[in-house]
Amino acid sequence: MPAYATRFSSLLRSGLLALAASCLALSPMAQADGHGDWPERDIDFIIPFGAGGGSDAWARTISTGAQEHFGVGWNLQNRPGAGATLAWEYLLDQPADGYTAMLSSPTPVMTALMEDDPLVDPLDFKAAAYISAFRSLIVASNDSPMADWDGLKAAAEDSPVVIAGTNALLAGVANIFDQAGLEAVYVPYSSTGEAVSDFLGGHVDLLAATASTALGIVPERGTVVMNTSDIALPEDVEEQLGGNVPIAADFDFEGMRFPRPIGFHPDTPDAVVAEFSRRLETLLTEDESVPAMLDRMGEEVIFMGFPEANEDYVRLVERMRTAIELLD
Amino acid sequence: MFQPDAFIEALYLVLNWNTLMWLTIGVFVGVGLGAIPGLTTSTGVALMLPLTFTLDITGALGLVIGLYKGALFGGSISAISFATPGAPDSAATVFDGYRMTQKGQGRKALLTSLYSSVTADSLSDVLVILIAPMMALAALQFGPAERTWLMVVAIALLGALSGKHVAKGLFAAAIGLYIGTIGSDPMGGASRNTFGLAWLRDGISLVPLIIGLFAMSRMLEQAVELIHESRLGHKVERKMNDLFSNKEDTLTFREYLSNWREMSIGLGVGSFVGMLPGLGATVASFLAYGIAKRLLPHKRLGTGVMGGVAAAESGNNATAGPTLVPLLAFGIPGSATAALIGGALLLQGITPSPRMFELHADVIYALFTILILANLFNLVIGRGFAFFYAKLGGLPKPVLVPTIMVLAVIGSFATQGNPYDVGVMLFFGFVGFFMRRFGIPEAPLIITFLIAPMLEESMRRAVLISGGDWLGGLLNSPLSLILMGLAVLVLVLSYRMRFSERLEAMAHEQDSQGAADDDATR
Amino acid sequence: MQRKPSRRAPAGWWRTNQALGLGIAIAVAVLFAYLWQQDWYHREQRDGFILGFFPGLGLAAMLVTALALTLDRWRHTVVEEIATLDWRDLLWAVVLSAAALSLYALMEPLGMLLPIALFLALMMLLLGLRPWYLAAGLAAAIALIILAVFTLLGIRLPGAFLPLLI
Repeated sequence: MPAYATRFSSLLRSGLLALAASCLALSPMAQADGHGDWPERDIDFIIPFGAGGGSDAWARTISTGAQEHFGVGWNLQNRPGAGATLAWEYLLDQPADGYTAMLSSPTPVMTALMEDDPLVDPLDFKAAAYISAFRSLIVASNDSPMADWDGLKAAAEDSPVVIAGTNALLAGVANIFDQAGLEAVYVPYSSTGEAVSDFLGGHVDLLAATASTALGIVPERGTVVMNTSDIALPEDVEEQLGGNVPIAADFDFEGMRFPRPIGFHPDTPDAVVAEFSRRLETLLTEDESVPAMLDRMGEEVIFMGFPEANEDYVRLVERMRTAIELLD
Repeated sequence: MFQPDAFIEALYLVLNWNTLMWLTIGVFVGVGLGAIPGLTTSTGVALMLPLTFTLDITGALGLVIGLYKGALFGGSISAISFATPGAPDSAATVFDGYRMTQKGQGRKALLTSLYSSVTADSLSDVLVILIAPMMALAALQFGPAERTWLMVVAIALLGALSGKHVAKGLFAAAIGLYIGTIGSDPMGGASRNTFGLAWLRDGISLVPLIIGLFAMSRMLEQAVELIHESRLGHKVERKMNDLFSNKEDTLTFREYLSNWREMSIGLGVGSFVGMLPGLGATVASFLAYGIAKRLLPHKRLGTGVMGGVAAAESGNNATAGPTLVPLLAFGIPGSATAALIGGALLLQGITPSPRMFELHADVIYALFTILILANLFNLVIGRGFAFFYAKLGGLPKPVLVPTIMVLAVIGSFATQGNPYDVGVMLFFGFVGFFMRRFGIPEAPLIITFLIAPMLEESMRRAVLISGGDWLGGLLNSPLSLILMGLAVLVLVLSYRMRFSERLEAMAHEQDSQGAADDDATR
Repeated sequence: MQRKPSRRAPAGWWRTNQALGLGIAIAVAVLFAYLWQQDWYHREQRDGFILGFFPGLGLAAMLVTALALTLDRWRHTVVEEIATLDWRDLLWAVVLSAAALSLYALMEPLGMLLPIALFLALMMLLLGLRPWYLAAGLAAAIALIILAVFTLLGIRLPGAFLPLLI
């Protein structure tokens, strides 16, 4: 057995050492520069999803700059479960000392809003910053009469239109349709892939999609009817989507975005949260490697710091609560 | 359409030391990772993500695709050697593979798995390269109504896995149906059937369920047996030295060819299932296994024959290429793995979309070349791993059983980092122990657990889209009518086949008295 | 393959398929009654289905198939494994599952190395591996290999690797 043990581990080691070494080389080995009280030790960084998703990728990318900008490392922990609220419950169980942060997304907020007896109160969260945001785009096929807003409006007044998408994106569309007084059948999908393929196959009228999903469809097979959020698309993306993408404000609607917040236990001292927000802003905007990596991943930094993010978070929860009621 | 310049360019990109090295590392890590229960492709790719930032496009693709294909095969290694599927998609391999190991044919089973995996994988890749756009267009025809009927066909086909005692098979299927509804309502999102336990809101995860039902239950069974034996004073007979002996059976080319029907079934089913978003390799392998068992009754699948391994493994590996079809044609990631490969492309500034064929033809050709090359690497590296594991499979049971229990515990935790998954795994380990004792097969449970939620979702979506009109919603196209007809046909045929099987069984009652017992059909 | 009926029926009625089917059917019926009384069960969804419809369908299927077990032509059969099933076997299965659970529970406070080695050693001894030092040595070696593999892969496991060494 000992002979085997060594052979087994050496077999694995020889292949993996190269990887491990390269991974190490990636993380900047800068010395700690923290002279203040916080942070004195590593920060636990909670991801409410399993490894491999979008949030996970964001967290792993940002954390490569943690050592340099925070002077301490981030311990990434994937804590999926209960519609992403298990991680949130864990966050609330930890001391409010600024050493446990969570990367949130629309999903846990929606879970907390949709449940009768949720694990957490959706407002039990102190948002230190928004690091990015989703926009829900309404996409119609090119030859459809609904390919522009007037046509869509006319069709929807005639009979309810059928729109496919994941729940959060549908909520963004419902917010606009409600303001326009239009009726629609909202068909929820758990996976973007199925929603897109049903849309392309002509099984539904419209698709609620993020910008990156839309890039695979527009302009060959579809047109963006409206960006239902309150933030315009980045110029290069807008150009790839055919240019001049109408935004909710063009039609006097109040658009809605879905941010990616990073936050703490609600009792965490404001000073600590503000310090975290400040350092994170430098990391995301002034650093050389992290923004470049995010850009290459097709992700966009849309930063909002403390306390603005925290004030907006309260309004966001209310907007989402209203939108979810519209879906039913 | 074919651009020779771009192809030559692609060969330059791929055939250099850098790309080949990352491909090797990818396959190596993939096979190793795949063989550890609970660690699947997406875990592996997520871990490697920071690394792909530093690589060029072909290096990154080599690493990710190598990892993917390696892991698809790797799962079968532990399924065959320890009855512990390394990933859910190799669970169907346990039936015949582990039985072969118990018969002392572990090495043969592993080689069958490797060769059928690589064969089906390569052929499905060629299929993708040749007719990706056509496949993609065909896949678009499958809307909610068509998917609903497709699931009905799948469930009807899998009657084959219910075994001789139909009521027990159906009971297992009913359990799968029930536990598949635990979680949240697919339309409204409200939690249902969670017994007030918030952590059940995301439903029962497939990985701990499969590790529990397939691995933990068998380990409990073997442990209980061993406890009896050691009470009776039996000694552990196998010597550790056996591990290093070289007497092994191998797989002849003729034997490999004798599985051509199973491999064709796997190839066809896998390619079809792979190109539809959302179904996945696990469904493909169970379907291929079930169909092969049904169509080739004389091969006695489930009694520990090569054919069962070949069908299941070619079924899951044949999804590898086609799962990229929706990604390449429309930029839709059809599976988690396709999403990760799409991510690797995005990192290099290439947005997966139809435009890719014009804008980055060289990258597309490089991707295709890597798809094919990865299979060759898998063959060589997989072989090494397979032999190593086959030897480990020969360890004495008192060593193996506790070790697999430990791996089951940490594997079900590691797959998502969710502590409740350990509890789920142990619960189903005990359920599986009871089911095995009572002779209830596991396969129908897994199949309905996988398919019934998709069936429910598609059906409710179809009806929602049609505004509550059931008939108009579910029979809205010629394709859905055809699929419905097919479902009826399969049901009628399987009833008749079962009837003739029964007649045959009566005739051969004496012969079957001492036949080997059968995991899947008991 | 279906076992032959053990015609001598040494075990009595309660080991037959019929008895087990009846037992399961009763359990399923109780579960159904419990679910029926929950508030969520009757809540209507946006497409008109009540929340409990599909879980109820699953339970109904279980009930029907369990009842079929009590009526079909194998109802008097005693499956061989059930015939030889001792209540102690079930107890052992529970004990071993509990041991695996405590292995997991101990990993958080004690680090992963110690509980894994301990679990392995005790299990190997229980399953009949002798002499004891071989079991202990193998347990330690396997625990170290598992530790090495997961560390190299960078996968987070519960607990630190060693106690007091975070």
